[in-house]
Amino acid sequence: MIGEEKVRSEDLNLCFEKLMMVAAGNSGGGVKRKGAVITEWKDIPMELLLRIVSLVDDRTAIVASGVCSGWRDAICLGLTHLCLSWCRKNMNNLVLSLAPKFTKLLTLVLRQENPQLEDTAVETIAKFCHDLQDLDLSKSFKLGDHSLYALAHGCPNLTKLNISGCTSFSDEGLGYLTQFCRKLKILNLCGCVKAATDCALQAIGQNCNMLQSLNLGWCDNVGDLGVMSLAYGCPDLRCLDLCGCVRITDDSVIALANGCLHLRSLGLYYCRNITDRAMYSLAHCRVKNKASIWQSMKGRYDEEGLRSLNISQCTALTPSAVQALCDTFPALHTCSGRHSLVMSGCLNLTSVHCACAVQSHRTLNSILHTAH
Amino acid sequence: MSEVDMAVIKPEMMKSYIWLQTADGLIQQVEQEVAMFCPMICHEVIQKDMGSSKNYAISLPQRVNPAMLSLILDYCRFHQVPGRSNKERKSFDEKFIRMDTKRLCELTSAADSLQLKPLVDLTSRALARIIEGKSPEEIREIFHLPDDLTEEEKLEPLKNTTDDPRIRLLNRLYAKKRKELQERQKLKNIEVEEERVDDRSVDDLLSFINGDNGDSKGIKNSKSKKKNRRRKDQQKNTSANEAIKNHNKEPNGLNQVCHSAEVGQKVRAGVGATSNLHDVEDDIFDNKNEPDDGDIDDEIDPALKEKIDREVEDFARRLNSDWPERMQEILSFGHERKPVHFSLNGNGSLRRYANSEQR
Repeated sequence: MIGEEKVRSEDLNLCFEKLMMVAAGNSGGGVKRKGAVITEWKDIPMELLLRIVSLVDDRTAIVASGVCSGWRDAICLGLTHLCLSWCRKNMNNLVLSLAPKFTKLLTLVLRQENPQLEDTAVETIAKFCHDLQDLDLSKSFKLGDHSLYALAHGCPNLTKLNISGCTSFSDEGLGYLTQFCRKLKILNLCGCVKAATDCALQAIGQNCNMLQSLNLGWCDNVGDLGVMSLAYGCPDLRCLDLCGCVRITDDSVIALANGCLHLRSLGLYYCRNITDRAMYSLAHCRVKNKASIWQSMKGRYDEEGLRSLNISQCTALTPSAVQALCDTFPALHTCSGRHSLVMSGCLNLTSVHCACAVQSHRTLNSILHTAH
Repeated sequence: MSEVDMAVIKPEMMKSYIWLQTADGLIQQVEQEVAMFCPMICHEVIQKDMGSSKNYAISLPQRVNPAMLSLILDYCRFHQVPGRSNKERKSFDEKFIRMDTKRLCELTSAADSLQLKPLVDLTSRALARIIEGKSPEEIREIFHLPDDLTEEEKLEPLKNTTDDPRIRLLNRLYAKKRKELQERQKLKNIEVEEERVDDRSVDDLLSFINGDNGDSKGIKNSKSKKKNRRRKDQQKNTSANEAIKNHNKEPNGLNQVCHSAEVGQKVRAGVGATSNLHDVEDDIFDNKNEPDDGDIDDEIDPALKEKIDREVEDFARRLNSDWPERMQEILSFGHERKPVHFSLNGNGSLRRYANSEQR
């Protein structure tokens, strides 16, 4: 048995070398091989195999990595995207056994239907998959701060992280993570009540300056201080969801209007403290920046401005303020086709319309008039 | 007759031809518009001015043999005609793809070397459809791949990707085989005292298997091991049997040594080891020595279980036939395996019992 083992490992090396040689020399055209014409599957170049594996589902890709040494090497070297959300019982074990093999993963989706993942799995990921850029750990109720610490050290290239629903994370862990994962662009903290505090937001504002999208839905510990730090520290912010962040007041929105000139999408659902002041500040900053476009802001000016705004249940708002906002941002629509200004539950705002809605109304009226 | 002569005699039939040479030396000429459909040939003609005559035939990559070339040219001949509808092309593709797997592989390879992307996409998709849902064993059979992964490596993906009870039982069988392998190995090196390396990888595997189904595995093992003991008392004890007996008596200690012996020889490093799975493993070995109580049986109803048992036995027989004779001998002593209805085809036996919903 020992002898066989040795032979196998030699075969492994040979196969691997063959693959590397083929992969290296396969830039279109003939591949010089010692020996006869290819008749065996195992001689097919790595890229072809990977192309075929990319066409199958993840379960089959995992199975394929256990077929023979050539396939295993090709797949372990080439697999960059993996989703294990179909696992219902064994996801933790599966991650434990796969992470050491698939070290070139860039995207890993571990969203669970029933919580299975534990800290050990995330620690293993952090230990082996250092190139990881996109990680989805949503609904992992069992994960604790150890995972965050591990990720901080192991996956510094993270640009997209989804930890929504991971209710056991604390703001210390999150703050620690941001110190190391500075390239974060998309962060989803929906429902992370313990983790998304003003403290954590300050850390984010300080460290993750490339942040573009942040979801703080239902994080009711978020207050003005946090959002203001965010607005100051992340000037590239484009999408911010503050649904259910009930402590937010106008000051947050004003800070965002001043600091985040690329803001495209803002969610203020259930933020009852928002008043007209916030609306006017958004409109005003827009106008102000338009005028000063010839200044240094030139490259940073976003043509259309705000495209999507959710002010449902913000009952303190009045029609004039919201209409002014709608007029300032041509991309905000109330018309049925492109409804992006959502005002459900604001019964006094029914008169607010976007320009196209008014236009069609006018056209309709004029037709009716000429008919008579 | 040179091309010029032909042109003079039958101008209306004059067509441009490209000369191609396959790796085996065979030279043929192909209509220009057909050949130019392949980017690689196109490149050779335009950039390097090759292919205009027999002496300057374009050398095709080695992966393109004459049979594949003719297939590819058929494909090109059909698709390079601009007037065809999408429906026509699609239906041609579907018919074109119908060939045995080996030729499909060759064709994919050949098309790739000629950079004929649409054909590569078509054949890749066909191959992907073939692989989908198959087990590693089946894939190896279909494509004649070498079975050169260690058992541990093979076991891992299979174990966790599905909750199919059939697969779980199969894995148990694998594990049993593996243990026997270890014992034999241990016997061979009985004087070699291996250090206690971190054996967690193998324990892990066992625990994976038993993580959800600890009891049922234990029960199955205890059944067979008990019968082992009974039989062995009657017959001459081979050293292997002793090992098996000892194995039963001191599960934890001996297994630790076995495992470490096995792991010490393995090339692979640890496999995502965790340490808190030892508890589960202890449960396994405790169960071994207990009688079969409580049918904690994977939620499998008796009829299905019987079916699965039959499959498992078949599979076991199949695995057995791969091992050397001594193994056979030992196993025939040591197991309660009935002389199963041997199927003569020797492989794919699992598929016979496959449920319709399995794949």
